[in-house]
Amino acid sequence: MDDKQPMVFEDLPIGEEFADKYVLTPDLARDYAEGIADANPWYLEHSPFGGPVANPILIVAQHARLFKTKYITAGNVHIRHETQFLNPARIGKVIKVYGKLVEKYLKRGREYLVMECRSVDEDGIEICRDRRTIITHYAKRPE
Amino acid sequence: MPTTTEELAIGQEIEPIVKHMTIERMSRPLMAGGNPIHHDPAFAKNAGLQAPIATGVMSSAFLSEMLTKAFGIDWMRSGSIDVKFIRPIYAGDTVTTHGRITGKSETSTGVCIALDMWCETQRGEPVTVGTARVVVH
Repeated sequence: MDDKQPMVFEDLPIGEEFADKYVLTPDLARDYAEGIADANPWYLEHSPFGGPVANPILIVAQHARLFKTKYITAGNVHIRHETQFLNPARIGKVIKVYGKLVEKYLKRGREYLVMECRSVDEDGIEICRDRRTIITHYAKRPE
Repeated sequence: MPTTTEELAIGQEIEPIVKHMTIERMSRPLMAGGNPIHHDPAFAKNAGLQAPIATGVMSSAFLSEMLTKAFGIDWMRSGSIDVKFIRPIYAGDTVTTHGRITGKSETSTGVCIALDMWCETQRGEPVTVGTARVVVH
């Protein structure tokens, strides 16, 4: 049974942690390459690291899944990310994603959430660290 | 081809990337992430937008592509970015990336290159702005 609840800004606890994982498959890499029209062979065939590696932003984009592991959400708008790339993510690996809600605030009628995230592969190699800010619902709160 | 540090000068711009946005690519599940604001015109309108908007990290990917072409593997293993999505990107837009070198300093492992970077549309307005750093070995 799906126990997810709608995400309510006021009820979100600072410090709440999230976790997820996925397999970095060749199909995922190909789908992303087509989506952003970047068919760099490093992502699909071979790279200087030996074998294909993920587009770094594909890994960053997967951090968006974290709120959905616990909450029903729709209409979030990503407005900022501060990301450090540490190692390439190798196609075929399981990627573990971790996040923590570190800040929330209201600004000009909108709800802002800040999550600190990291992606680590199945061998414990840290891929990236990311601090992402979203607006929960783009439509402004009523005055 | 990746750039050598000798070829880099403060004020220099790296080679831009140009992308044409389509609703087909914007609405792909991996891009939209199940968020209707990226593919549903009615949902986007109710949210106060004129049309579905591209997820911001698509423009991050364009900037990363520009930086990968300029700096190669060093970008993937030592790059960092701070990116803000300041205006919507719509289907039909042409997005051009820009990167300008703002700093160059020696570190214990290589040369740290700092850049201002941004994406702008055919309307001439910036839609994504930020900074990047990469240590070139």
